Amino acid sequence: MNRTDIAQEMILDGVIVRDPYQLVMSAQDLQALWADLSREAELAQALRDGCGVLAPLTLMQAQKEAFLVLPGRKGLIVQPGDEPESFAAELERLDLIAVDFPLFTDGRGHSLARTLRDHYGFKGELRAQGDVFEDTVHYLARCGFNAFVPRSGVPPVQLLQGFHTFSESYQAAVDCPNPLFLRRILAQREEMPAPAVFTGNTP
Amino acid sequence: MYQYDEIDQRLVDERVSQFREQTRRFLDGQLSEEDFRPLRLQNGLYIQRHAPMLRVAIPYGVLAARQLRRLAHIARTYDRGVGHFSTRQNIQFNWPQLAQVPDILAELAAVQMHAIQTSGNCVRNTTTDHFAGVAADELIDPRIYCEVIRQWSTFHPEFAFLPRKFKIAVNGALQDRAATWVHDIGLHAVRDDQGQVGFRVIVGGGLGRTPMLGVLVREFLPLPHLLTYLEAILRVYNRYGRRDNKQKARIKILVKALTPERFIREVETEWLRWKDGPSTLLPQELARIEARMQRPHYASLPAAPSMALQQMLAQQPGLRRWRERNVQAHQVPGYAAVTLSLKAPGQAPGDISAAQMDAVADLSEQFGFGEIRVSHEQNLILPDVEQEQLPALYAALKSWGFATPNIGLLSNIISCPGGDYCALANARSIPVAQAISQRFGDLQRLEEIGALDLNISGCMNACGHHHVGHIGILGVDKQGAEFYQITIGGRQAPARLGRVIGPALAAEQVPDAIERLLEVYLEQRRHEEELFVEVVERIGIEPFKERVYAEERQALCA
Repeated sequence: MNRTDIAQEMILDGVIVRDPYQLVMSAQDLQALWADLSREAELAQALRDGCGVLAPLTLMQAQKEAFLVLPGRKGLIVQPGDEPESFAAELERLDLIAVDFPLFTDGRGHSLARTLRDHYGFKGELRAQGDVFEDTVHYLARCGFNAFVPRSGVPPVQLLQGFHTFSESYQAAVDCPNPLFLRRILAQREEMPAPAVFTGNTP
Repeated sequence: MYQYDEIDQRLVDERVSQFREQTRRFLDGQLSEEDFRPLRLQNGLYIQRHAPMLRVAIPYGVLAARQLRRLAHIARTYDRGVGHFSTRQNIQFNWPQLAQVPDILAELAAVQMHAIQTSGNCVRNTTTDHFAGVAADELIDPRIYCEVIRQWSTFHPEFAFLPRKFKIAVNGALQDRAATWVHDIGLHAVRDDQGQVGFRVIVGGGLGRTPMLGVLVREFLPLPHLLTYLEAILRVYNRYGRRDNKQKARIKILVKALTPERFIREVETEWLRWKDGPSTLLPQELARIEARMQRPHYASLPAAPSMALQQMLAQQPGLRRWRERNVQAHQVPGYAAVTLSLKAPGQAPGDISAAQMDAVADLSEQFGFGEIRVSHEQNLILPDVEQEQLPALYAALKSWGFATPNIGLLSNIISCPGGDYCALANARSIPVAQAISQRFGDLQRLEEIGALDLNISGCMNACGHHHVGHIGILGVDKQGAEFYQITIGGRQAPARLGRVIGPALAAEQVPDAIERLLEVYLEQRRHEEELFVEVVERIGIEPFKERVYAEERQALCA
């Protein structure tokens, strides 16, 4: 699937946007892109101005420097079974990790997202793509995804209905690092007379 | 029992709305069967042979009278007036209409109940000792920790789509009544030398196609780390558990494939990343849950039975026998826990009518604090009965058919619904259970045989826990015909898996085969206290096998 020519609509941080990334799937694609860049100054400018390039992890691994020195933003597509260790060293040079969901019932991507956010501290765009629809986005968002490409046939606006299924949650997750019980305890502390010096909100 | 607060209530209400909308979209054709299936399963809804089956959670087996009345109402209004208690402390309705399920869930939510995560590849209802909080041999009451786990696992965003289902059991007594060695995670609540509460953690047990006892992964996990440690186990499983083959997807297979040593290393490494983080339990939270657990206000009663009660027991053998079998010792002097047998001769194990449910609810208020327990052995328990009231309760239970004095005996059969209802089953279980309970209906004979667990599953999935029955019966399909494979020597505590004695038998041969097994046992046992399973351990399965298949061999030789 080559999406190079179709700027598709998706959800980013709760709003519908056009996907600014273009996809390079192969070493040839990447070579062609460099050739285009050498010919068209506007393309390099466009990439620097906010467009980006998205490539599968395998391509990045095979063509690491050719990919990572591209101007503008860079993103990786990873499969649910990929080990974060295999691209952790490059995370600082990446703006986007797109996790593929071949089936919405494959929950590996949920743990991958949580690990990328909470263990590796990845702050960039974390995108769920593949079998994504309104019944799956709530949990995905809790696990740290902030971007969602719906599966074909599902308009992005439909996804927006799924984010507010539950108004509270018991457990800690990326969207809310403190579990409900800790938030309750902290809130009770705040209700008590304020200490002379407030030392932060760690328990 | 635990009383919901505003947030607990809001979450189950929001779940009802979510499922109502999903059901509507499915019925309107906007949601495919393929997409709807995992979503409905996470609400306990199966599509079965005759109709959908709805499995309602009874968290750690604790029910209030008003909840049981609501279940009776649901059975009457939306089903055919019957409910079935499962082997995981849940209740199942076999005849609801799909379109009405959202209404049933709303009825449940109104009494602080739900069907959340009673099926699907997620963390299921946490189970525990059905005598939790009242058992005389209890070290630590596990219910608070069960509630902590219930809340943590409810709508856990990371673990909703695991490779396969995931079951956690907690035990806090000397005797393991929660089958912790055959769960994905088994927890034993214990105290360390300093008196601090923690857990012995067992991972990777399970029955099903590949029965296995769990592996001890941690001798003592201090209580504050409970949730971070559970998360570490679940994360390792979610990342590395097999997803290519449903038969090999449970955590037990992962533990075995990695080796326990490496699995433990992976879990501990993962845990260190999260240990002491925000999910570390705090005493305030345990105190909050404790405050929401409505505890019974026990009267101070003499421990010894009165003269009048002793006289009644002496004069009434029926009452005496029932007390010996169905009444358990209680932590509080003067009280007893009473098991209501749902295993009368010829009854489908675990089945209960709406009228009986209402009756039990009334009895729980008359003879207790309005609380009922559900056991994984598919019986009900009134946990707080004043011992002086035992004769009156016995009379009431007799009139409702709950007084069969067979708890712990052969006819207290654990059985899955089997092929009569379940779409997965290879064979029917209930008719076999009924035939056995009728054949062995004679109480004197049952007493003579003594303590014996007989468990029946209609297929490899082993919902009837046949591997851990002293005698286990497994329904198998042989070219379209129902046959039954017999295992012996299994036990729940200390956990052991039974061994197959030989080729599967036809349904009508099963009661005779049980007779043969018992003959050998009665001939071989050294004294009345030596259990069937102990004789199997001592002399092996050969003599039993010989006897069961002797006639068949003779027929072949003739």
